[in-house]
Amino acid sequence: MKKPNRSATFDRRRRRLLLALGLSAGSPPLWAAGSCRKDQPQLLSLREADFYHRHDLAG
Amino acid sequence: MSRQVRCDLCPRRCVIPEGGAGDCRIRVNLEGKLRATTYGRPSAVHIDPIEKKPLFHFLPATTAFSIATAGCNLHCLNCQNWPLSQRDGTEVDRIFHAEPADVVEAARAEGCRSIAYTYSDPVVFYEYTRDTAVLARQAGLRNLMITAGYINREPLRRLCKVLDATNTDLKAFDDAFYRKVTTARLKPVLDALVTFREEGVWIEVTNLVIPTLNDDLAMIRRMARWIRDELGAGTPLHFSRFYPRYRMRNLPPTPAETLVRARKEALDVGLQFVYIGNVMGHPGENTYCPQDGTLLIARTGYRITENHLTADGRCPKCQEKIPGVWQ
Repeated sequence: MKKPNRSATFDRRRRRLLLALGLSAGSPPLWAAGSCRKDQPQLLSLREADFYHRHDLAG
Repeated sequence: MSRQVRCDLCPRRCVIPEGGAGDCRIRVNLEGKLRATTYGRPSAVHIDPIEKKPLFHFLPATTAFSIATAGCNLHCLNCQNWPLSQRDGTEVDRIFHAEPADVVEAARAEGCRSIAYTYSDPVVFYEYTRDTAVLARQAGLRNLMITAGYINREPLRRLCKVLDATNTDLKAFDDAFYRKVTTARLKPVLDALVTFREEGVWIEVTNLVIPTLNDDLAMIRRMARWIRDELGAGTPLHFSRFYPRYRMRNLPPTPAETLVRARKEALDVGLQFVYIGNVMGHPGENTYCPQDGTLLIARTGYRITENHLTADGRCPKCQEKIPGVWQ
């Protein structure tokens, strides 16, 4: 059985997703734009720490 | 000429090529020398109630200045702290610049009675822990090591000279579990617990009970017997509730009833202080006198709501001495 051609629907969804993310069709892949990896960590002095910040680390 | 180095800190004994890192990701070979990249660079710095560690028989109702760096020498599928423990020093969100003296100064300024080396595993930031602990001792602060206990005996023995208390995670009493879920082995953890005892460090043990994986009552009984025989019947044991995390999201949280059964098993074996953790408001969070059953310390979560112990740590009714460090 021939599969229905869904490319137009896919393109519309993709366009909506990219717009929602503030990207255009020519944008690099998400992983390259930094969405899927950490940026460089912030280096802070101890004075900038909020010692009483609620956190969910165990131990 | 080979410039490999071998890290003898933990039982993995990683052989690290130049420019490479050990299994923990943060102990590296830099120009032929072994270095810990997170020395003086904690990524978590918090002030916690000591009950959160959990330590229930050590300076109750005080706060512990708690630090951790990235990295860990275990890779537990259920790690609750994986964004910290399963990353190297460059993959975390934040890094603080805090030399040992800075940590001690901050702990004193905030009125903490102790410094806890915790969250990931202080084994991998051993040198940072050691140097901070030495200064903390000089400043009159206590040192707490919250660990999985996967460390070789000699380095641990040296560290014990400046440690006051540990909560060691005994993840199961089964080597197959250790291999499958944590990538470590059981025997070195048991050796570490015995070393803590030999060196006079106050010990509490936590066992996170995971449904179907380590909730077998026969195994729990064996573990409780080992603790009774090797560490003493007065060693507090915490059965903690599992929540699905990291790579183990397919299992449900531990039913409270399972923890109740585990607690009963350990009490029947002869352990005197067996607690239930991560179940807010459960009576298993309280301390009772092993002689007459008097409620000694009532807790709700990390908060102490009643404390009836005498100043020297005795039951007010029968004068039974309750093991612990109470002041």
